[in-house]
Amino acid sequence: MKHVLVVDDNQNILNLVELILESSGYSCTKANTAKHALELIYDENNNYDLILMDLAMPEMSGIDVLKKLKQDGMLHEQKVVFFTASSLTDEEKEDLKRIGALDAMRKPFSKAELLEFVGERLT
Amino acid sequence: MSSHISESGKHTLFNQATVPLILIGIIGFSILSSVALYTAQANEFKQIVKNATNELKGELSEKSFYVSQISSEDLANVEEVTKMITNAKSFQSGDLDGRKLLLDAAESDSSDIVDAFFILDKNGILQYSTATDPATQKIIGTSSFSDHVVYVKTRETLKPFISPLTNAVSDNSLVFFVASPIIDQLTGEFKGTVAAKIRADTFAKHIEKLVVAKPADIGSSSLTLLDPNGNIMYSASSTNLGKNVLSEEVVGAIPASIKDGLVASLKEAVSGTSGIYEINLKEHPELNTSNSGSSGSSTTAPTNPFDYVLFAYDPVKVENQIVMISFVTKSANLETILSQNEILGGAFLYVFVYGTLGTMTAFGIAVIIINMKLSSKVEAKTKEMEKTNMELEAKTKELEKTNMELEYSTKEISEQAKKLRELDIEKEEFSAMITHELKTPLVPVIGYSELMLDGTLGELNQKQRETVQVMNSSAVSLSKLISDLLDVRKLEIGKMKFEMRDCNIKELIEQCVKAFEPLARTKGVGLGIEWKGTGKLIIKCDAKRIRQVLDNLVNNAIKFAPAGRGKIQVSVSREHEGESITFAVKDNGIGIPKEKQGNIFRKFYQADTSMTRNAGGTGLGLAICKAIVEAHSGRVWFESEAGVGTTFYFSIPTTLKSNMPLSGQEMHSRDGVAE
Repeated sequence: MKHVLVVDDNQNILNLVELILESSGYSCTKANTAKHALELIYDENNNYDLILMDLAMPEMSGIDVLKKLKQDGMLHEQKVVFFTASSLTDEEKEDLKRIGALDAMRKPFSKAELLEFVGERLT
Repeated sequence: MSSHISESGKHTLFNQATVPLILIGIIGFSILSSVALYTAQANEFKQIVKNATNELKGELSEKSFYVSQISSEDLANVEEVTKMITNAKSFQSGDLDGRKLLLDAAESDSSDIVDAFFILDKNGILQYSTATDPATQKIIGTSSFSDHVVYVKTRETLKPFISPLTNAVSDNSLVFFVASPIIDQLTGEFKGTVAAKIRADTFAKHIEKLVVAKPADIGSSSLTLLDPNGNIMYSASSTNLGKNVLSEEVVGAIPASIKDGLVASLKEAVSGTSGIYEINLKEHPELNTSNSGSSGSSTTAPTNPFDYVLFAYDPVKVENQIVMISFVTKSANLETILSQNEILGGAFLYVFVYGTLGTMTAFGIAVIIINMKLSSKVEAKTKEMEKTNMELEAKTKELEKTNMELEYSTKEISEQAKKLRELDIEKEEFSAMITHELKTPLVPVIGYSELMLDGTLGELNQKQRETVQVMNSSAVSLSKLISDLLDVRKLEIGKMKFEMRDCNIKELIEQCVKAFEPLARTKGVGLGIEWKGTGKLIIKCDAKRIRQVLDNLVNNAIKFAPAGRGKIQVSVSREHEGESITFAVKDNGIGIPKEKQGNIFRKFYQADTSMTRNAGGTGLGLAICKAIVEAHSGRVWFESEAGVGTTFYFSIPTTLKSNMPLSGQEMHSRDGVAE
């Protein structure tokens, strides 16, 4: 079973994503702060197949997490994708990829969109 | 100034007389021309005024030496000469009315010098006189003899003539005549003579006033009177009295620099051929009544030499005369005068006193007097110009101040603009943030409602399903509205980023149609593609944005096409090598009512509100389409017929380049990624 770490400061979104992913056969761990996410990632007992992370979060953003992982040489082990409620232009998507993200998608999303996006990144 | 005189002295008297006039003229002209420039170029004029002022100041300082020698009593005389010059100047101007005025003025102004003016025609017949017979009131000449002399002399020489002293017929006073030929200015023909009768005594008084007001102070002879043999009859310097002007004693005292010319001139003058006019001392014993008692002199000098005058006259060698008093009459055109049936011209005097030896002061004063006029004029003009200059400087300062204020304002404005730009960026970031904040809560609404609808959360009954469906579609359209608003905002402030790349239009259309097929099928609407023309379907554009336009149009078409029997045709046409590619989305819907067609591209405008409310829509779609197409230098339009359908078109030039600036769209660079 593929294990996805979902990071978002919005608990409702976390629950929604968990519901969709688990209903489709994924195992899901939720983190509602970047800091918590990093703790989970750095815990050697945990192993995530994909990290689905919000961009805009208070205190520490998704990009900060990505940078931190990159800095600590952890990024090559992790597949990080973002989802964001911001307007996401192609250029912004490219910027994210340049700093180490696999891809990014927009919120809101339909169930099918989310599953397709996650599914493609895990094959 | 002395150089002016000596130079002009080589010419005729008349020319000399014009020298100061020319000077006046030059100054006047420079002032006038300066004034003319005033409106044209204030700065240039300012410079000219400065230059002119400096020049005039220079001239003034040159004259200050002479001016300093003039006592206050002389100023009255200055006034007199000033008038004469002023009159002479206006006479010179050739204005007929001016001449008449001048004649009147000359008569009154010079009344104490000039006894009468009169004019003889080319046959020597008296035509005009300011003197009239008290009995008959007829104009009269002075004496037939005098008339005859001045007429003959001027006709013979065509030059001004000054007669010897003679006794006036009327009162037996000692008078002389100053005459000038009237010469046709075109043909040079002699037309007559103008003459003035001058009383010797009043003239002498004038000379006294003008030349030798204070001989003692001046300390050298101011006026020297010679007898026909060249003996000095009067000189303020008493040492020379009675001596012959050509004697070694006198000549020896002449400064070497001017000696040769002066002596030659004196010789010529004394020879009697060049205009030393005799005062017959025997006929005028009053000249001898009171001798100054100078020693060893065969002739005694008069105590009051200014009651009578002897003058040397040489129009050619003026600069070397000991005393040169000349009277020049201005030529007048007699024919003009006569044809006017009234006398508009007349004799007029220009008085100049020149001298070199021992009479330098006389020269100086006379010149000063003339120049005083110039000076006062110059001073007045200078003051005027200085005033103008000051005004200009004030204006300049004002302008400089305004300029500074403007510069300050400009700076302030540019700072404001900068702030506004920053604010704009802030606003954009604000918009992005708002978008983010508005959309985030929609995520669970859309997501959960969808999960409810697809049964993930258990089966819903019909009523529940319909309700959740409304919630879902409302949330979706709200999300769409938020995106559209952000797009509109970006388009409005020119922050919409267009990524110009080669785009395969065929693929683009096919993807679009494919994406809408499910929706179309649901509604029972046919969706077809038509390719027109033979041109290449790969162009430079922002594929995502063009797709957005297409999506919008197709979505609208499906929305408005009649359910179950709708038919939509998406077509693309490009002629071979055509410079534009045209997209068309045709439906067989209800059409757009004519009265609403004009507003169709306006923001938040919906032709059929009931329809859009049902079908969902923001009223921003077409406005965004238009903006996107126009940003591609393209055009969007439509054709619509009620009951038949509507076709939306847009065309994009095929000549766009990837680095082409599009309607000033320029996304400001951001550090990292905005959220």
